Amino acid sequence: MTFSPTTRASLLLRLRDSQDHEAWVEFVALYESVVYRLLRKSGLQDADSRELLQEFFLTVSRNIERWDPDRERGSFRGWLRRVTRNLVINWLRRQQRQGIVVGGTDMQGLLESLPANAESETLEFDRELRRAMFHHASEVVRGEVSPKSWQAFWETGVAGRSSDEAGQKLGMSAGAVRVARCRVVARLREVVAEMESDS
Amino acid sequence: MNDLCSIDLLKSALTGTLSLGEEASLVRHLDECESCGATIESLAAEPTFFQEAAALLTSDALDETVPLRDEWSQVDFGVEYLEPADDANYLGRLGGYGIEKIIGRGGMGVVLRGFDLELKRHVAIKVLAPQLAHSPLARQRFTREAQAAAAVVHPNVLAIHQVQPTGRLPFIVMPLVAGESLAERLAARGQLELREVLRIGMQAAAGLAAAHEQGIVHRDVKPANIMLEHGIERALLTDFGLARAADDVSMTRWGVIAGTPQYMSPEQARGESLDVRSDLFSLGCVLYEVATGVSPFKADSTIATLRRLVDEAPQPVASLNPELPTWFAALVNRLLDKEPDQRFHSAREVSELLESCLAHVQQPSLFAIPESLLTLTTSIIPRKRNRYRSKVLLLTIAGVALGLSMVPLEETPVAQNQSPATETGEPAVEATDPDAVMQVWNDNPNPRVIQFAVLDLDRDGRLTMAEFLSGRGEDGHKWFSLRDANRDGFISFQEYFPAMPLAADSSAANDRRDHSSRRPSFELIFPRVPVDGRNTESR
Repeated sequence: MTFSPTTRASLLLRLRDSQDHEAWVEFVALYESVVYRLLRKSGLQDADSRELLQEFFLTVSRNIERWDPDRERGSFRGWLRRVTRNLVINWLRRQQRQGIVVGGTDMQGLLESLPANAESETLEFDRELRRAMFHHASEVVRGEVSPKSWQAFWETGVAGRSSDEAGQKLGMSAGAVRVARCRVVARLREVVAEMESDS
Repeated sequence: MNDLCSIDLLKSALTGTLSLGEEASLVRHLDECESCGATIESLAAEPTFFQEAAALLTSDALDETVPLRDEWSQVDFGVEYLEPADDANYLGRLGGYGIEKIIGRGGMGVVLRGFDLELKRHVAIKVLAPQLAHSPLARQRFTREAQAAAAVVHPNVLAIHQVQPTGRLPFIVMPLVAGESLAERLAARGQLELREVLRIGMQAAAGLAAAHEQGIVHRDVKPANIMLEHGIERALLTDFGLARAADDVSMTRWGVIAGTPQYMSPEQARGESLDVRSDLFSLGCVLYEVATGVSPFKADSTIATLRRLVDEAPQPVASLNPELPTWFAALVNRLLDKEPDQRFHSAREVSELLESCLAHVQQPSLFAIPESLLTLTTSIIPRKRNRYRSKVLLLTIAGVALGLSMVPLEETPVAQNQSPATETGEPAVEATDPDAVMQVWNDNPNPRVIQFAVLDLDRDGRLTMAEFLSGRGEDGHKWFSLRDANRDGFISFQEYFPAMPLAADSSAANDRRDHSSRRPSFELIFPRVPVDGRNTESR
């Protein structure tokens, strides 16, 4: 999965062009973990989340052409958030109507535990989206730099080791670790910023 | 900050535009100078970004459970190949079918649930995956195999209503089975009762027999391709011959190995030509798994599985499920014989035997176990192979297992007598054994395509195998990698480099052709540098 570094039309516009295969690849790659994680955090089981995830993408693909950013006065992201929320609510209602008790899950409890206010829901969604972007950006950058540079970044930036410790582990000097780490971070920042502006 | 270090210099370091000398002196400076270290960090990103990266890139419990991308293709949801439907209940239309939902996907493509608008019935539609549909060969195979399979009419073979070879994506229309696949049943319930094992085996064998009698080899008999109908006790075989369509179509990336070799026959794993007896081996794998809950040749990696298929006898079924009678073990073992000649003669024979066994299990006093099963051996004796005598590799490209993941070097003729790697100054692969020879087997009609090779180092009688992959990346660079199957990791590296050093000796290959049925197209000779098996540092 790559996000090409060239300037492009926003993902939304590209998705509305049904011939743009790549746009869908990117869209699914970015949002699958966002939506899946949100569903799981709402208390759904793995299998149910996967099924709803499919529904999410189908809903988007069916409605994206009709979605009018001007009329709705909302952001693309906001719309996706509502799609996700509605899916969960409809699913829970469906289960309730059918009297299905899934693995001892308390449906009413689930319904009630959905974030009550829009603000916390938005924060949660944005955080997951940002997280997905970081993960994708890290795949991109990791493919661009040498394994050692990547490890230097990972050991110091994520695993929390000092430059000296990481250097010893990797057979690099502390200065080399620092340069490599900064180089990776600078590039990560660029890629994330580009994804942010795009979606 | 001193004169060694300017802001511009640090910025250049971040973009990787320093000369090697400048970078080396900067690194030495940063080993000592804390303030320049802090400066370069602040130039890279604001402190909150560093914190955010650390927090967001740390994995949590949910990450472990998200192998989502393997499950369905990312482009399935584009469903752009569908025409718009008037009816809001449908996602879209495909030919004369209203498409209701996506019900599954496999290596070949997506399976849709549809409604035949004319005949008013529900159907399952298998659409060839877009990446395969680009290949004329895959398209042709997909439709041709489906057309052949459509001619098989048997209660244990899933019928084919229609084959649509034209259009953007070719597709096949089949009845919608209300039920589950044997794979799903296994996943939900684990091993099945002997009576059920025999019934399903008997029916699957009967379906295979019907196809075999028309000259059709299934090639991909596995639990996921055996459907079990709800309500009635009927097993249906699906996907005849379709595995072929994916066989030699290269994908743009490697690393994702499509399909499972777990149910392949050894001859299939070796890339040799197959006949109906290959299906009998696969059926043996299925019977083994449904009776014990364990797949007989399952291993951690594809190559390890292939290796077990070719070389190892599976654990006796009785050791996994002591309730299984010895005649059952004997039957399974005969199906799993490495030599096709030693298996049963036909699927028909197997079906009839299983039928007699089922009758015996249901009414032991009335029906006896067939004599022929009582005289069979109950343990598999692995046949001796010349594996230590020669350095001949054992495996060749196994289409579904590995071929999918490779990019052919179509534009790269393998020049003869090129210098070995080290003399060209290219990164070299170093082998642990000074006499290591790598051979490339090539079943591809294009002699310039390097697909797969296995390295066989014999030292202390230990067989070491490695997987060799080579291809062209999207950016035009050739890549090259070598993986050691025993150590389950790369002993070499995956690296882009501009030229692929090859030493080809076609005359040697021709000589060998006379003595062996396996034909190497050429050999790769490694530079004879004994090393400790680590990477060649090339960056």
